Amino acid sequence: MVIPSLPWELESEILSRVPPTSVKQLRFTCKRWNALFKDYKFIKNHLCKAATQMVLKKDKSVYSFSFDFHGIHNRYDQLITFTGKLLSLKDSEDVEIYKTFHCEGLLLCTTKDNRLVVWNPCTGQTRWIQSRLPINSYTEYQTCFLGYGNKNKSCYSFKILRFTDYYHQTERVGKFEVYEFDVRIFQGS
Amino acid sequence: MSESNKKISLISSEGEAFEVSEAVAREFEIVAHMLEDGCSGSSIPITTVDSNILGKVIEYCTKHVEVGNVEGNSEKAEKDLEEFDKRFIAVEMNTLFSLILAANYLNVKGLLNIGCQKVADTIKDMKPEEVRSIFNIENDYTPAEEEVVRKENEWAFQP
Repeated sequence: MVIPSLPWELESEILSRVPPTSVKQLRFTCKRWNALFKDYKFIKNHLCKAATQMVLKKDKSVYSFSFDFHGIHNRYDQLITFTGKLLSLKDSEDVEIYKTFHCEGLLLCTTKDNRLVVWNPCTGQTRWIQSRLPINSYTEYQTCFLGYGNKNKSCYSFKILRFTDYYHQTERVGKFEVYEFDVRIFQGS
Repeated sequence: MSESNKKISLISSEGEAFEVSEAVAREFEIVAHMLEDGCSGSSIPITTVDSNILGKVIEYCTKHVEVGNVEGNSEKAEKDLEEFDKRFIAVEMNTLFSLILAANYLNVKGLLNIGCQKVADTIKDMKPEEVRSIFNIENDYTPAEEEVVRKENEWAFQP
């Protein structure tokens, strides 16, 4: 039996109902779907239909949970479903997450070895931020903040503020840095 | 004849007539609009939907009108309706897609909702090849392009 083709708006209606964690796999279906998953309007639509997701950091890993607020639950474990653990698909070993910061659905993680990575839990997209600290430096302490400013209606410009206290050639240095990236890469416009 | 007992014939693409009460026909928003616009004829052609699918859509609407009319005991009725929806939508993919198309054309929102949700639940754990065959989509990625997308997705939640 031949399955009838659906018009684009119905296809998009269906895709707005898949859980965010399925998006990473479904984007390989075709370029059109991949583009849709990055579309800002689609993401807004998606977020209000999909189950509420929460990200939790425990020890050196990040986990995702989904919440179901529909129906009546007497116990918390009926309400919360564990949906996954954040893994690096490329490296065989786990990335050790040190701290997480979030803003507008994006997660900024610092790793044990002081690298910075921004991650979109909905689409699974990641971007490593190139560090400007000198090589061979030893970090004593660092902390970050993630925020954004509006460039125009459809585009956010995200900024990372990082403070690092590090040793370089026996000298102790305190340094503030600002990194900036365009949100189109992550969320479309 | 009182308003609620009025019968309306819905004609499928094959020309088969399905007689339904006006209340059921009004569940098809497209029909409700026609009736409000003074389209008073007692038979309405639904040219894009075949008998098999039209019969199913009518079955769905009839059940929902019935349950909607029962007063009291609403919690049990709601549960029953949920069960009915679940059974109703457990069909082959081609029927499911035809139901979605019909629900979209006839503007039966409830059916469109459960239909789309069912497809979403079905494809959520499927491999791209399987999804492509269901949606009749050709893979337009070159291996190199696929690699670029894969690079964007270095991390993911794995169950």
